[in-house]
Amino acid sequence: MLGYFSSWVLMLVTLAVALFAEAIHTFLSGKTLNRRGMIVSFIPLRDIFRSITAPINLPENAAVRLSIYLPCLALAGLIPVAASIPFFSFVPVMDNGGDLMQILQFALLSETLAIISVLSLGTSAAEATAKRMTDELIALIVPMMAAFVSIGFYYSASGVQGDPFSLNTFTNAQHMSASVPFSLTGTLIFVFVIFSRIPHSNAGFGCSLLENCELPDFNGAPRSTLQLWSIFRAFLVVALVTHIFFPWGFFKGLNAGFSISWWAQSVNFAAFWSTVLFIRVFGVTVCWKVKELLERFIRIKNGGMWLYMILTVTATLLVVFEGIRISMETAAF
Amino acid sequence: MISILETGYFIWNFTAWIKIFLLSAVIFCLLIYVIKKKTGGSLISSKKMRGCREDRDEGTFEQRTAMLRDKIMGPWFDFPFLHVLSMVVLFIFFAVALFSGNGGE
Repeated sequence: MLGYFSSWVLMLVTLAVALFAEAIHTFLSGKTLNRRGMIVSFIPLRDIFRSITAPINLPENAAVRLSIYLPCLALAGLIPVAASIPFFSFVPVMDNGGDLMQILQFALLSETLAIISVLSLGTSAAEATAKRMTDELIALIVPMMAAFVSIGFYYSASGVQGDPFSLNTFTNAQHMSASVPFSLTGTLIFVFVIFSRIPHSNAGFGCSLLENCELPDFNGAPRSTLQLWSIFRAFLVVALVTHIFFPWGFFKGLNAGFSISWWAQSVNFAAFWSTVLFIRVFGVTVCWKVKELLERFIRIKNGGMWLYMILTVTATLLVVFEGIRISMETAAF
Repeated sequence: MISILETGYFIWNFTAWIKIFLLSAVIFCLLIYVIKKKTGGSLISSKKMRGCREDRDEGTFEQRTAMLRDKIMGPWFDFPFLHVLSMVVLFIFFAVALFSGNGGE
């Protein structure tokens, strides 16, 4: 039990990388906004931590217990998702390899709890925020499901042993090989679509759920919990997607010949989280900027939504086509 | 007891998932409860508060959480080398997790 609790605490420490990444991102974006003449006098992370110790304030019509404790349950819903990612706790808490579909189901549970907690505030502004959260959830989860299902299909068609939806199967990295160009292109499109659909603010608040002026009558620890939930959720999405295209082949070579190689495990741990940190700060920001540019060019109604729908379908078709091609080649052989 | 459900490719290890979820939920809720007790705030509108006694006695659970806050957490935050000590404690956690044989259900 003590070992289990220790692993749990270490997992929360790894989650601190999310806050570090968020701090770098808001620092850099604050500088850019200042250069454009916009005064950014707020530091979102500082506000989140200050608000934890501020007196809890809820709107008059709020369902008090739900508004206070549901954000905690939403945050708790993210922990099993984190535990499924190899390296998250360094010492694995679960040994069933993190099935992507189960991970998405827990993510959905967490999202639902967060949306209900916002709805329980009982104001029309809270309803608008909950509606926005639902839209963002659909925009994010649909491409993720499409990506995982189509890459899972690819592995299933190529005759992989065991669960093709497992994160461990993805470490084979066959779908990212240059010899399968359709699958490679499809996966890269998926990565772009998912990163650019991570809910975020363009006003320098990064991945925080609420901006300063949003829901001002909701304050204190529950608000901070929801803000942290949003930051951790974004970071987990980045970690999951990085898992899809991380150069596992290279790092697996480090483990060769060692039955218990803690140094290799440590190198893998450091390499994976440095990559996630780098991708969160720079890769995701580049995707957000490209998304902004694309949406500015497309002047039809709901142009952005249509573009992402088309990109998701194209990526799915490319990866599935590669899977069918490989299974036909295997059958002919 | 380990509950595992297998449906085709999917293998659900319910015990592992639920244990982590419940452990996290209990700890986070307790934390918020302690913060709520400490900071207070306007949780109920003034209309609903009419006739209520604000200085009501604290129950056993409240006393316990207050003890956790004052006797355990408070002195820890007052330590002069808090950051160094925290790192040492984290290292101890790491060693315990590593050598206690924990690793999968």
